[in-house]
Amino acid sequence: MSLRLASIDIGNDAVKGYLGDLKEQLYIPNVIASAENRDIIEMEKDPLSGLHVEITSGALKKKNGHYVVGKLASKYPNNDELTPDMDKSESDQPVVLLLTALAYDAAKHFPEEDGVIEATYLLSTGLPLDESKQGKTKEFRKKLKTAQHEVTFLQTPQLEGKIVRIKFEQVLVNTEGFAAYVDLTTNNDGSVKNEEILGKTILINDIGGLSTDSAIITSDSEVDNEYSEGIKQGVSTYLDNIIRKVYTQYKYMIKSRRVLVDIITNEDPEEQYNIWVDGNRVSIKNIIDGELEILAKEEYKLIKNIWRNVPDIRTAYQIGGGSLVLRPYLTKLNQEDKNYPLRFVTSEDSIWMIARAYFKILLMYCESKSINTKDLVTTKG
Amino acid sequence: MEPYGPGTTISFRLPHDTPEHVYQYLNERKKKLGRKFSSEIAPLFIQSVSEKALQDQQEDLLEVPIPKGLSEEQLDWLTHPRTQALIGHLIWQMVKQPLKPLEMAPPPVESLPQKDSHSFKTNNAITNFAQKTFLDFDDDDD
Repeated sequence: MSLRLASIDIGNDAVKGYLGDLKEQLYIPNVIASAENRDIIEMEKDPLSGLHVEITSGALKKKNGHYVVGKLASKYPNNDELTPDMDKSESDQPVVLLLTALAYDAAKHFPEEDGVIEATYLLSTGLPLDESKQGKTKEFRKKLKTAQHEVTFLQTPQLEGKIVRIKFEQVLVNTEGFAAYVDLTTNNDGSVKNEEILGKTILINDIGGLSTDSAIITSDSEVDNEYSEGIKQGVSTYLDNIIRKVYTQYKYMIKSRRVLVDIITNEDPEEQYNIWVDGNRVSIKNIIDGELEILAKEEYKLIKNIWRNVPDIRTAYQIGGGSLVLRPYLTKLNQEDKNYPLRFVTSEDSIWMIARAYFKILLMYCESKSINTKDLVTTKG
Repeated sequence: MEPYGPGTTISFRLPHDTPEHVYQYLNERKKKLGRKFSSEIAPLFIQSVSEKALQDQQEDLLEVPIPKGLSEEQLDWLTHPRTQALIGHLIWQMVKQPLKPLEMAPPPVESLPQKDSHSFKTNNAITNFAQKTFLDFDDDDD
């Protein structure tokens, strides 16, 4: 039986995944739009820029739909991004993204017979803290594992007409913040990383687009269920406010949250905090500071609250895309106040850490079940 | 514009993001050297520009992106002069004798020192944590 390993982190801004091994990454912006047909002048070159699929799956409330996904969907006026009131475990959008990502991978790696590709995966994914606290993991696993999934590529470059049937041998549904602990403490080969945090109580603050998960792991490497919590507060709303205010003031439209994040985190001082209006450089630092300071205060209040309740915490890691943009503001607040030992991870890690953690947990699962990862499908054959 | 040559005066503004240690050093030297200031600074300028110019002209160097996901050990191996000589030889053979089978098998990337990927042995505390937190479910709960 051919089987492939996959870890998928369904982030609010993008889906990040490792396929086959820890070398192959996949990144698809989390945007979809319903679309029966596309008016095409010229097909995109890269399939990832032109994902257009029909999905039939028992895991979807809608059971069947035609979608454009990712980069292509962001060009559609009627597109859907996730909003804070939706649960990942109960919406269709995360499932659409997940199945599209796997179908794209399957088309590259599983054999094809008469245009049909049968693909079986061992999947490791996860849900936010508040949803897993409500016991939604079991349901989510069951929904993916028992349903039939079929993805047909419609007008997608290189893949048009291919049908992918996806089956799951097993689905691990982890918890986003807690999973990060595995990546923080384990290298890609399984050896120990950051040894100094083992045996200490640590806080992992995952600041995402729409939510913040605060996961506490105690000194005996146990989950602290009482004080770990997830709130529906993230950077997206604040980024949207900045985009709106910049438009009101300068009649200049920043195209997407991603573009704005690039402006905020640009390392070139000529570009950071600046937009170019009619060829002239205009600083929007005031607007950015105003909004992000508000969120940083909220996030800092959260950290203080947790630290008051769990005084044993020795280090707090800030991860997730939000930690990247809030870093200077949180650091400043912290210097003026408690001076907690806050740690930040690199921008690369802030994006990929959870997906990597899921993959490492999957490898541990294989180890415990004596599944030989070397015999699995890593190349087409 | 008059072309630059020996004896030409060059004046330019220091960029607004000039680091403090740079202009402080400049101030110190200016104070100490007075009119001899430029004869000390000019060679520094010439040296930097010369490095830049030569770097831009290095056309006999081929820059190749390093494959992603290599371990530190593997990266060390890649940057070792002997490995680079090997890669150079490989390119030479590919260009000069493309039809002749490569003499050096297996290809260098695959012959990198690789850890045994059969097992993923982790620290006990972390294994227990993952087991209890994520993997403790009934396989046939559906």
